[in-house]
Amino acid sequence: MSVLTPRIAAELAKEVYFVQNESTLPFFLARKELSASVNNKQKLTAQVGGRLIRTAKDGFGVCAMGGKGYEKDLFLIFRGSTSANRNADWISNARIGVQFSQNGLPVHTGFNSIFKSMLPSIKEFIVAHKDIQTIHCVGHSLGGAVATLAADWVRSQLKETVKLYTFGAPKPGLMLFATNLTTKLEKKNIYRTYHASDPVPMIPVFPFVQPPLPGYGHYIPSNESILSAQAHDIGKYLTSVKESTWSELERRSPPYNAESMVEEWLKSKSPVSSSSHKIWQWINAGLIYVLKKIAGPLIVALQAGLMGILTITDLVAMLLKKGLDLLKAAGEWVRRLITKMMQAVGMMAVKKDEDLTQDVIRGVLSKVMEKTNAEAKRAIQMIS
Amino acid sequence: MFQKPEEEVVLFSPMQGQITLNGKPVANARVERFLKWKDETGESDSFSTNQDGQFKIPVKKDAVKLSTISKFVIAQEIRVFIGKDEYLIWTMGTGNKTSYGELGGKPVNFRCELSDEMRRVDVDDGLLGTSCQWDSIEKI
Repeated sequence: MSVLTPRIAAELAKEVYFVQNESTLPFFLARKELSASVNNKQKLTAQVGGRLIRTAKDGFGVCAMGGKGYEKDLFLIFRGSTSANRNADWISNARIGVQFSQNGLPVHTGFNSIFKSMLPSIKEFIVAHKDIQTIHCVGHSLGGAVATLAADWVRSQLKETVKLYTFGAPKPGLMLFATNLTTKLEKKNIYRTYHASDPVPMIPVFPFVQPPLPGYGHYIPSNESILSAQAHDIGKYLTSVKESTWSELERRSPPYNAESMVEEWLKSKSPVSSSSHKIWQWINAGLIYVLKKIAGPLIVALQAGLMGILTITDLVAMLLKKGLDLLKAAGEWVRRLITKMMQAVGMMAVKKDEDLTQDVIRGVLSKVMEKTNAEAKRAIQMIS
Repeated sequence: MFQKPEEEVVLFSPMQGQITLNGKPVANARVERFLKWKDETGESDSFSTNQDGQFKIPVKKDAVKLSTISKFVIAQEIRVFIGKDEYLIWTMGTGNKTSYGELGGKPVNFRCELSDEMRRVDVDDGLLGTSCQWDSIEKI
């Protein structure tokens, strides 16, 4: 039946961080949403930080059956990194790549490795519990990305309703993964919650995208003009959502996710300022908008076989160039987008279309990706 | 790269009280404190009860570099050993790093009856299971 309220989902995402050892687990499970029977719960462990670096024995997630009012519900709750395993440095991971998920969809290599290391425990738990009707996957930060992969896997295994609740989660995979997940789970079952000024949901940069797609999740506006790693704190998320319903949160959509707003932004003549964090989100939205115009549904399919950022830069540059040369209607949008991107990275605008070669476009794209990434990382490293 | 300075944190606030078993004070029992915060191993130290079952565990601090991306979490466990018997009386995961932050203040008349069941105690920014009791919390 049930959908967790924003408060309960955020409390679970927060409290799972405090499950530090076997002895604290029963008291986490004593929450009223979770079942009292200890047999119904199993702590998951994960290898953090990649296969080669280290194997952490520390708990990483909790499987539990629901308590009163949630009797046929399964909970999969994951946590992000803690001070005890901070070497698991997924933020500045130079090895970010794409690998195929359990269902053959392109996902983030690091998050997928962590999820895979937990999968045997999850399977074991599910096999032991027959009468499951709803599965709640919950997590903050890295735990949110892992919860997303878990939701994808469990939905394809159980064919029951899967609800996904994430707070400040990084992007779990490429477009094909995000659209496929959105179709599979249905958009209404994806509660992706993020503060406007939290840098973590911005990374890794495009072509990684956030589910739901299409959709924009549950956006919490912020008055801060710069990205701040403090906006990433799970305690802050709990404070932001605890008095709200999901529909209240969903009503506040970010401006750069409405197509008409993106069009207007692309059309506007006013120069862009690279000092505002919003510029990178606008460019990201503009890029997706223009690519959709050029390649339509193909853009999703094209990503399936891609491994790595360099390749994608080449591909996007090629698509933009084709759009510029071959498609009259799309060409206008490509020109506008490239102008905006050049302004944002401080390049001189190119006047004639002939000068916009595929190499020039690729150069602009690389600079934009570099800068977006640098912005997000700067905000994170200031604090971390 | 811009480095955040180290910050002093309280890993464990001073704890004192009486330990009883079936209502009788437990003398000369070993009280072991385990803390884990910066690595997966953690650290332990030991104390003991006096003739009246009273014990005192001092504050434990550290200077750490805090990160917002990795959540700062302290795991605390207190065990009491009497002969071959071992009793877990306190297990906590907490994000609090101030003095007496665990319970949001100083517990008054803190006591632990070893035959009592461990229970969940709702706290801010933490998860606590304990068999110990206290009358009230004195704000610091």
